[in-house]
Amino acid sequence: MAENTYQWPDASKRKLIGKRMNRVDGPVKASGRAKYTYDLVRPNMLYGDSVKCPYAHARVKSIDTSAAEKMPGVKAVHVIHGPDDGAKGEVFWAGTDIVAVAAVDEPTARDAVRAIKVEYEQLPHLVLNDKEPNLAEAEKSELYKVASKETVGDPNSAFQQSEVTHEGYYGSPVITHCCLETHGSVAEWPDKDHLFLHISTQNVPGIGEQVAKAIDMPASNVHVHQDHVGGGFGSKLGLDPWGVAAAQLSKKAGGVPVKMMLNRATELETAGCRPSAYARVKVGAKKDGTLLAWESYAWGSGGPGAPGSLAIPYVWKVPNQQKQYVGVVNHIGPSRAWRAPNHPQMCVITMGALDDLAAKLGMDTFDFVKKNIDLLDPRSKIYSEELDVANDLMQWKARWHPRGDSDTLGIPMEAISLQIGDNQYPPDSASGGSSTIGGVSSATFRAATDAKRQLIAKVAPALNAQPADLEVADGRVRVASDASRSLSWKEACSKLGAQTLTVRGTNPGEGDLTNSGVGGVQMADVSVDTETGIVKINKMVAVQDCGLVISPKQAESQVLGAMIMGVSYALYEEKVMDQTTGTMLNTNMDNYRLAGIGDVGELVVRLMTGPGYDERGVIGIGEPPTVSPGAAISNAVANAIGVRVPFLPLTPDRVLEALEKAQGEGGRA
Amino acid sequence: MKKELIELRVNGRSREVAIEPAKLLLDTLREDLQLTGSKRGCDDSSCGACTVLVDGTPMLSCTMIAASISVDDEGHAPEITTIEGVAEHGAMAAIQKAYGDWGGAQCGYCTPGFIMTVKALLERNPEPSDEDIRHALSGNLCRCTGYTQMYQAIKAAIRAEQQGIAAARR
Amino acid sequence: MSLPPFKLLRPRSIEDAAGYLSAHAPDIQIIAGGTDLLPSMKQRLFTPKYLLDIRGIDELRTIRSIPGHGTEIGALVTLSTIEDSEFIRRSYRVLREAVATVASPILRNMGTIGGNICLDTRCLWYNQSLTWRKSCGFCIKKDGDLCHVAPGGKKCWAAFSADSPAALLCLEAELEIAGPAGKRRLPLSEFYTNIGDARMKLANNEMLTRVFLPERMAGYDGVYQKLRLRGSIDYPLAGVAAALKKNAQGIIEDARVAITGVNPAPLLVNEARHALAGKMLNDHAAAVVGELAAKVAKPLTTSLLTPEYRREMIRVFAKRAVLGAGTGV
Repeated sequence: MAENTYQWPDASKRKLIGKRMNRVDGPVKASGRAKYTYDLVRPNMLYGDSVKCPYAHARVKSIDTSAAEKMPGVKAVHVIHGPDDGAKGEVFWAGTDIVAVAAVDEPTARDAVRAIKVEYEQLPHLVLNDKEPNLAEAEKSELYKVASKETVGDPNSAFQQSEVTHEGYYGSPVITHCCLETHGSVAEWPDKDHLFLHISTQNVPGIGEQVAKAIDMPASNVHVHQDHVGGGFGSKLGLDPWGVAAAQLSKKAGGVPVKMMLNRATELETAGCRPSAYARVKVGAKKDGTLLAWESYAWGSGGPGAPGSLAIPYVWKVPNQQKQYVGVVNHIGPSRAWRAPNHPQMCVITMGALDDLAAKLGMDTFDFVKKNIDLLDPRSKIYSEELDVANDLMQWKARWHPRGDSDTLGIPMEAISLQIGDNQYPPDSASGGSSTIGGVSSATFRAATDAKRQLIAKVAPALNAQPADLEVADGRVRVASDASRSLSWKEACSKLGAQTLTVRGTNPGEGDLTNSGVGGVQMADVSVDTETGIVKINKMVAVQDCGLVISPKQAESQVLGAMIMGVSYALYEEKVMDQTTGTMLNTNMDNYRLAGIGDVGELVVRLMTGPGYDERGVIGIGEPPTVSPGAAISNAVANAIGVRVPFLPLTPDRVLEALEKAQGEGGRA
Repeated sequence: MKKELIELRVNGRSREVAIEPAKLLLDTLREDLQLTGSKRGCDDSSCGACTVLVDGTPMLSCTMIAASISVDDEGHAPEITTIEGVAEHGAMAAIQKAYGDWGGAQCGYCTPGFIMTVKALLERNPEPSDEDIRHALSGNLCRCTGYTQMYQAIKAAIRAEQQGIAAARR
Repeated sequence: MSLPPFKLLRPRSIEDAAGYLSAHAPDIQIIAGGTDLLPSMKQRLFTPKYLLDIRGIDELRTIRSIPGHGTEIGALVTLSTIEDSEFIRRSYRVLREAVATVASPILRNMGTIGGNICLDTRCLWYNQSLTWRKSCGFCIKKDGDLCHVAPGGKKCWAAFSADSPAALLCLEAELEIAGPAGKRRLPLSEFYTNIGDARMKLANNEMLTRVFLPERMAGYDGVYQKLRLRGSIDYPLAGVAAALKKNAQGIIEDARVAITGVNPAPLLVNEARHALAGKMLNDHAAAVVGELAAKVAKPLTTSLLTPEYRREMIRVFAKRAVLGAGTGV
């Protein structure tokens, strides 16, 4: 191998890559020894809490912290958002931190918070986003950001040429991450210039710098440590006001540790959300299923920063398109990256519309996708293969039936649907964006390769050989053509003398070792009780490619976890806001629901590996499999009951409403 | 409020702690006894991350007052077992090893709670069906794993236990 | 989240407990399993000066059969114990069916039948933190004088959200209550007020000690149907219990139907008994009961899922519960 090239070993030479390995950190997690930020108890540690603005949209007029400052046990008080912060003290969501306190225990901190008086001027708020905005009104209002209209090809002619068209509504609401370990950190100052942060984060390498910038100190003086994080899913990549506050409180308290962890209600209200996306979509095709045209009017919200756009149709290169998007400003906790940001929402809308079109054409969606497979360029071939694998695993072709006949009320009906997912992200160093495996593995591989090369260079003279003649195998360094000339690994390392090898691997980005852009196909089999609207997931199949699979067990685990997140966001999750008061109504995990073990049926995962896939190198898989499940389940329900339930989550009242509406109109969608 | 001295029986030992009377068992374990394996997850008794065994029965330590299960005037108290008390003589229990091996944990935050529930299940029912497992674990939530690999882990643990018992008999 | 401060009292007998209650009411509250009270205390819905932990009162832990009378269940009997009781399953089936659905297995290990009977009513606007409730101006049930689900209303509509009382109503259960004047008994059907705030006829110096199931109601077949989004953990958003007895020809001799989750109290569907007695058990009879049950349900937006949907589920579940109870399913 040339000095400056790196290649993953051939399949025949792989000892560990692709083998079913156990998680290295399995034991420490299973024994309870793994420490998370929430677990940290440090000597003299104080507990942080904060006054939070109760109003969705307001201005801070005045703050009086005197009672709290005098309270016994209160060691520091810090104003985060005063009347002069932001635009004249303006606050944009309920739960915004206004004043932070640190006290000797949680009850005292809580009492201190209650003793602080903040005066607010309430401003008008908007916390709902599922209503279709009137374009003319939106253009005149500060609460809406109208994007430019986009056109591809000649949609007007294309619709004229379409022999079958379909129009419908599709969408999904704002949801949150709901990590089991809430956000938070422990901050302390070992001396007045140095900050030590233990923080629940996905971004150990980068977060220190962000905090340093926020409090105006050299980044090199911030030491960040964390061994385990209790979930992140994209919400723990950046700076948090409460994290910065912990550092400032600690400084004010003389450097003693301050622990600031969010409680569950605050976590659900403010620690990040996934934007909503809704659309009225019209699609057109020829009678033989050739997809011709797409027209959509879409909108959605992700907090006070209205989203700028929505890249639909998702994955499909429909030749003629007309698209309009309106972002809605909502006074709710702001959005953060949520596992495959925006892809699940785009997939729900796109695959819903196409599935309905296929049904109108009288076609099996499977055949519709295959008919138009070229529109899935450049992954047409991969998708086609994956469809066949998924068909096999789900017995799709044998079991599929056209959309349900709802005369037989009360009898559960089965249906299948299929989806496609995609991910394309450049690698970066935080653990997010499906880049960890690509970023880390290729860097690790490079480092290991470089170390091996350097070692071989040092050992070669002892074996009377040139470095190029040597190989490492079975724990020995040996001459490739004469295995009798060899040294044990230990002997070889002893040739290093007093100097150890330190090698850093860098990840140069896409290329021979890593890649981006994967595809996946998912199918869902559901039963719907048409008297109650309750949806039961019988089976889901996920066929996913992610290039060279380093560790199949962990890769499958990621896919399975993504599928269950899909079940949760398809059936249960939504941030329920009350427009009158501007508050979130489902602020605990009793009402913000995650699927339990009994809420999923059989989950089957097949990773596409081997020739044709391995050569692409390593690609991240954390995100792609979350893209499709919502769409698959929604389409399965549509197939089962013959009616589209337009918006997720598919709660039974929404399902029944859709059924009753269709019956009232005497037809089906 | 003034702290009071109470005695708890935890993982086979008597532990004395000085705590406020209103302190929850979970917080006492985590802050006063350095047993941080049991976790705070939901604040409303609905996630199971804080599950411990009380006289062998799974219960939510976030929904118990420490003083309520402390040694009473007659010297009686229930036995509390936390995840830290599951390993025996330094060796991980079969279920802990299996959980790690079979992908039962990703972020791992819910794992101690699940293992306590599984331990109690296997003690009551050494050969649970999939339905028994589903029923017993229905009070523990996981955001990461999809639950599927947990069945495999539990079955592997049962096999390992049975093999261990068979080996010990030989 | 931590609890507000309190002094813990641990009586060993009913007499001790009654004594504490008398001495400290209204600043004292009873705690058994704690699964209802403690989450509410974390939200500062309750901040009693004294907490009366009654789990040391061993005599309240038993299930006792009294031939000629019925079965007595101590208030401290856990829901798991009832779920696992072969005797209850055989003799008072509908109770076992309802108890088995409560929350999750872990919560059933802790929760008691007494606690389930006395379960606080629930509402999206009530079961929230102090700061949240303050920002909305509080409500009639707690600290305020307005209602968020019935704007302009003067009455509290918080929904009764326990499962077992619907079954207990079908079994004509009676309660034993201990207080300063000694013990009294009253039928469960007279215990609830159907008002969301002052929901039960239990003075603040009284405690529930036992539940009696009459012998004449033993042996009825029973079914409980619960509406919830997930397969476990969730409170009922609507619930129907049905207990009935058929003769060898399939004619219904006697039947009871009760509903929960959709009113401030669990309620018997009184007309169901008459509608079913002497009738053949079939779809039509069950459908009639469904309509009757739906008329009794008056849900408001105290929870997620629309009131119209929850009322419709009362209709569907009542029909299914009656059919299920009749076929031994």
